[in-house]
Amino acid sequence: MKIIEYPLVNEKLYIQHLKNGLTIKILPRADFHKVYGSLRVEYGSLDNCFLTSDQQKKAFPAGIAHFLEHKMFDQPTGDAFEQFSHLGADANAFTTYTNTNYLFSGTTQIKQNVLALLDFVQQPYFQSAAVEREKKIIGQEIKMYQDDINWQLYAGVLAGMYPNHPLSDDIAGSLASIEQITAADLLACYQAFYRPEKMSFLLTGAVDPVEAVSWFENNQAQKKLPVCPAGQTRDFTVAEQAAARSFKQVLLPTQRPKATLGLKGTDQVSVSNRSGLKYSLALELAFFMLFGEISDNYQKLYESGIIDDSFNFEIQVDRGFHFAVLSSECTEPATLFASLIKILQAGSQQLETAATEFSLAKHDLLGTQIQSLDSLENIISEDQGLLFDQATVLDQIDLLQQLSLTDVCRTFKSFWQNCQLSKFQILPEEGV
Amino acid sequence: MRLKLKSGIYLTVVPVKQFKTVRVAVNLIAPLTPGVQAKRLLLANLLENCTAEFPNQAAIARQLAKLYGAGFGVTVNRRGNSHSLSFILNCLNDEVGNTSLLEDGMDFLKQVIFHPLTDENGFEANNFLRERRNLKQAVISAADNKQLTTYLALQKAYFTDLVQQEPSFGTLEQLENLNAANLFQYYQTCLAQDQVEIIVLGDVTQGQAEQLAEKLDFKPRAKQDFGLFYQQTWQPKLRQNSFKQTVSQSKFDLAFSLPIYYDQAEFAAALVFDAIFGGLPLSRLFVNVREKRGLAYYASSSFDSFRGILAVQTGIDAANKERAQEVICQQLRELQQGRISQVELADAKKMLLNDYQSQLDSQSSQLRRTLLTNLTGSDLTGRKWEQALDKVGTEQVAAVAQQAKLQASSYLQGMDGK
Repeated sequence: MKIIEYPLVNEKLYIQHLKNGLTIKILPRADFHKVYGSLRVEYGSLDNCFLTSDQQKKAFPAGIAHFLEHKMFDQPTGDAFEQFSHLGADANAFTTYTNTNYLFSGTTQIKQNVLALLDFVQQPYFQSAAVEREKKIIGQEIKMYQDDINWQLYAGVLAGMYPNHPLSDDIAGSLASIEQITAADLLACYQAFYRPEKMSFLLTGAVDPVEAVSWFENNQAQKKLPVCPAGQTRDFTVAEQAAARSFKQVLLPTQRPKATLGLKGTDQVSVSNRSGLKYSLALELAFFMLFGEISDNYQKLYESGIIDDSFNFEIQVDRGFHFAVLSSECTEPATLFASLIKILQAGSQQLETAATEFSLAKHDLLGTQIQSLDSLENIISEDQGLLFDQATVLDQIDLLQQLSLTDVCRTFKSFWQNCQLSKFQILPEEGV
Repeated sequence: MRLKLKSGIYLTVVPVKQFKTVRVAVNLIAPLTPGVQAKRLLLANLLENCTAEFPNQAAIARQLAKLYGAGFGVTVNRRGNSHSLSFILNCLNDEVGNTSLLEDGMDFLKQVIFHPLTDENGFEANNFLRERRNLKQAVISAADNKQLTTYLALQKAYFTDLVQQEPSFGTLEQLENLNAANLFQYYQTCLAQDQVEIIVLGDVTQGQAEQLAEKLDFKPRAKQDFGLFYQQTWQPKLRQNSFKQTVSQSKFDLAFSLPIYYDQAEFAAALVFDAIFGGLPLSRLFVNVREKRGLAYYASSSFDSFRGILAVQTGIDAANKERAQEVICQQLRELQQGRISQVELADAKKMLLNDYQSQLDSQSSQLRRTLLTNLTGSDLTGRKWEQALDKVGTEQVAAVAQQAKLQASSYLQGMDGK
């Protein structure tokens, strides 16, 4: 077992790669009452078209990863959720563009909970009748998202940046796409991606790492998992990508205009080592310096009423794509877009001379990340699974500490020079 | 331990070593009267964004960055007949940062609370106008949140008291009537009259906390006498609040009167009841309304032990409304008849125990729980709480269920615009 020490925050991470390929990460927090466990599969909504290792081309309806997550809880013995209830634990699951996550948190019977989670995710049981029933439930979920204006705003800008790309589909798919999903489809995707070498288990809280690793080892050694061709995710970085759409507007029953500016990155960013994570943190710091509350830019935009408290920005660097989005409710989207672009255009120049702001911003982000270790939920949600050389929040803190202003300037300059802009706005329908 | 610093001013220290930060909450508690929610939310937004020494958000953000990214916020909360305006600070422990982080943090809080940015009329005009405008816009945009809109409609139908009907962010008219002078005046009365509960949680001794609290120069004040719990007599007429909007999913909420309060012996049983009925991920409502019959995407209940109300919220297809109500009421009837399996009861108690112990890992939950103990005088922590939960049996749950009486409903009927 590998033990990595992080002296700045006085924590240790234990990593073990099991024989079958499963990666175990343990971040012990002895004084906590709770234990959080998360099993992450590197398979998300982007991966509905893929090649298998025996060169079969497979294509499935949009939303299949999310559908699979829902149906994973069906077990020959009943609903896996129930098992966690009997164990006094919370269980949950969610799907993103690139990964699927199964979680539990509990304060007692930790071993049983860990094994229960591992066992149900490694036991496919997809029944046609249950799949049909689930369509209604997921259909309701899709409708709920359709009514959520802020989600529409986010989905709209993604669709603008990535036309004809699975990022332009909703993670849950559409009412029409999920209608086509069958039990056989679920099993095919399961077999291609739900494999030990594509999974990692992060455990944090009051656990003894040596003992915990033995639970995993014994459990996995006893299991004979069927051998099937593996799924190979499409490499979107080299795929022939359509250019970002420069502008779109929709009318919806909302109260105020909402606008978002997407910056679709086209740099070569690797997720197989730490360089991609460093890129992500440098970009985060650059945007924090240009648009964060500590910046004069933010202050001016806020005081002139161009943005309000709803303003936010987000950096995403993930498998096969990276982008930044800035959004706010506003009175005039055109003014907002123009102001944001003006700041971005002057961004490189501003950053180069901002030594004081840089040290302040770095202090701030570093402190915030260290504070986030007080929440086991944060430790779980900041985890990168198998990406970036299996990085955790502790590695982020480490990398952040090493970042220089030169890193930040270089990263921002390259990102900005090569990115494609996409504007998206939602205006109130008349008579609302 | 809760210490009375001066008349009406209290300090509670919760010494725990598990966190890398110390969290301080300064809570100002006042009776909930008409219009105070709008006033105090606007105060929270204004005080969070500027002080005399740090006159804008950037200045505040930079000061917090200097404190190693200290967390800071001003929040509001309504509980029964009370309202709290809370100043929260979260500071890295000295071993991680440097030796005076917490002290500098308290000096910062002092600036925020006692030295706001003002001009000759009261709060500084530009900041006041901008924060009022932003809050008005947020109130307008809240209508985009359909779940909230439906819940507010339920609250309006259920409560007979106008203050309880108010949204927690107040109304546009109330905001319109506030100006920099009258809000500043109001804030002075808060500083002079509100009950003050200072809570310090983290690796801090009583002595250190007392020294820190001394920085906050609150004057002694008379004890405010008001009943914390809101009680409403049973209303013979069922009140319904229905409306239509162009959304694809309909929302249907129900309100039951459930007159059991935080400081009563039956409180533990009421929580177990709510957990089984609709509070837990695998509650009766989730399983029967959503999973088995696919009538809803979400269906859950929540119990407010300061207002004696049990609310059920669902997201449904319009065609399923009658059926959903039938199934919800049928579940309640079964619980009233004591039709609860031992496994169901045991699971619910385990989950509530898990919730309780998990909250010990959350600083904000601990601050909240400490404040509730201080306000109610009812200590639901440690072994005592675990035993209270343990004692709840089927009969007690049924007895609670029998007290739940349907009083009101709200219905947002979705119409597809396309």
